[in-house]
Amino acid sequence: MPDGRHVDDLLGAYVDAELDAAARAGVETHLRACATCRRDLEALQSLQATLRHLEVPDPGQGYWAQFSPRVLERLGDAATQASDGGPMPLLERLARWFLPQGRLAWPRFAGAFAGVMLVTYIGMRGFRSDEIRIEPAKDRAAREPASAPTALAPTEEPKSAARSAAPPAAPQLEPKRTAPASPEPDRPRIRQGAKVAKETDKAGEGAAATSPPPAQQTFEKQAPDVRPRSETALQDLKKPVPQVAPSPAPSEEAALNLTAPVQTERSLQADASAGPIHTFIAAALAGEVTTAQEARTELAMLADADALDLEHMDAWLRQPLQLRAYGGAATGRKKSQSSAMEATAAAPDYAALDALLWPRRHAQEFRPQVEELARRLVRQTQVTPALRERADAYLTWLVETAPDAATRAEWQMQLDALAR
Amino acid sequence: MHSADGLDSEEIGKLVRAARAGKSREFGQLVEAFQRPIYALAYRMLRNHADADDVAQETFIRAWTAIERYDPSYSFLGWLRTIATRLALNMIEKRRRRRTEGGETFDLASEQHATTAPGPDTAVEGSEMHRALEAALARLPDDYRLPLLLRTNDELSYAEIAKTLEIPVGTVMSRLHRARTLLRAELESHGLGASPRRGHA
Repeated sequence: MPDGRHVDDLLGAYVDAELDAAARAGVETHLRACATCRRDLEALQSLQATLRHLEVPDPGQGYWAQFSPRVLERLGDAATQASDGGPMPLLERLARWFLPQGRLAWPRFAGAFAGVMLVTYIGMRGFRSDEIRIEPAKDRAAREPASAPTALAPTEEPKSAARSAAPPAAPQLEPKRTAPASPEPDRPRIRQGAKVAKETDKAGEGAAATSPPPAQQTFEKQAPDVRPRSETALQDLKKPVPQVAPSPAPSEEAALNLTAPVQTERSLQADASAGPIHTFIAAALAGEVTTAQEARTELAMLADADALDLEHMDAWLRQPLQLRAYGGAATGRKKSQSSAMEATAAAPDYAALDALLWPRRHAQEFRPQVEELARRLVRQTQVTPALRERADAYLTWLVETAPDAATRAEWQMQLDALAR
Repeated sequence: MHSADGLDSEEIGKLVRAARAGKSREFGQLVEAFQRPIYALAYRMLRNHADADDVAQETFIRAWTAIERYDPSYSFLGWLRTIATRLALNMIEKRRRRRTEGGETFDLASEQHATTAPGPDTAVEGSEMHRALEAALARLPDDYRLPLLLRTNDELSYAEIAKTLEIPVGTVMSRLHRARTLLRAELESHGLGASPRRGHA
């Protein structure tokens, strides 16, 4: 139908008043001369009118009157507590969000997380690209005296400390937002040396002195950093990324981690510096609901089985944005994880990349990342069904938007490969 | 009672700040201000009251949970819409999975008829045209349907749609075009061309 002169492809934008003056004038000129396009325009306008008349049934005054009370009720203790003063600790909100109401007693969860954070801190020394802030305990013990779970932290500590005898990568106290463009992008932002040892010692003392890290408080303080960091990370994602040669890696890491240094890694580090929980929250709350549901399942499962393996939880929480670390450094130490955990651990890169890419999957500027992820997913056999579905969607898009026939054929081939 | 139009951006900003500080009462006011457009968006996407209610409620729960992540330099309603859109998409996906797992063929059109349970104040006229249009809409792939709904019913500009769906503006335009073309073809195949001479007001 379109012979190159018709304006049918512009009529929508014309009706929507989204054309600039020149284009509008062009369309109008053409309309005066072309009956076909005039008919199209009329059809379009009437379609618009009909669409607008597809009214949403009003559920009635009673419904609206109850709507916000129902929301507030579901916020539940969150709201109550908040009105007592100050916002609800982010971590607690997160817990409530993930866990079905009444599923898990909060104190137990909090204690567990305090432990997680401690283990994270200690274990972190084995991860070369990790940064996390843990603040010394202050009032947590006072707030929740002698609750059983908090005891987890001290008992867990020596074990982890013993395990991580590797050269330490120091947690870095860095409350400021990461500068988006670092002059030395490849330099790890981790400080080593004397400062490291001091920090580590301090942490050891803190734990030994029976004060678990005040997880809630820490998270709360970090909260304002979350968004800027994520944004920074995403901006970095958009930049064209230089190809980096794979660094020599332990064979295990190589097996699990096809990523080598991925384009995204550097930007993800920025997120990691906000703390693993934040990187996770950022991904989960951004509306990547699949991820959040997986989180809920995982956490509930662990809690139910009463087998809250802190180290696994730590690794899992870090996983969405800590691509490399988990695969290499952490897997060796995982012994008792559930099969679900193993399944998740098997594809950390994909889950993470997917969580970041999925909402942006149709943006051309992310094409290189989408291509990269799609390639890996096709090659990888151990992806979850959910990721496989995603791979299909990514590939379909890549086929549809391929710039030339050869590229299209290439992606079509990958798509076919996935189907097999 | 507040309505979306009843609050100017300054008041919204004030309420958002209060909500960020954990004040649930102020958050409740925001809920009241935006419940209708959010419910409407969810309803259009999901086409039944129960699901729309779920998504609308959940949208505000999420908003509360993630309020720190809201960037006040953007529209609050836009942010809510983004959350609601994703939740609704997720629900559509879940439905689809249930359906396919259950061995049934996925037929949105029949779902459409099953789920159009009008509320008490329903103003929907049950004309053939409307039913056909709704069915056709339901069959549109989400990628096409969403921009169309956001444009036509939520009256977002192309730029706003691009932001909400995180796609380039050019893509918004091409998808809208495609959506309308598909809809018309669908209607015409039922002998219901969306022409000015269709017999329904």
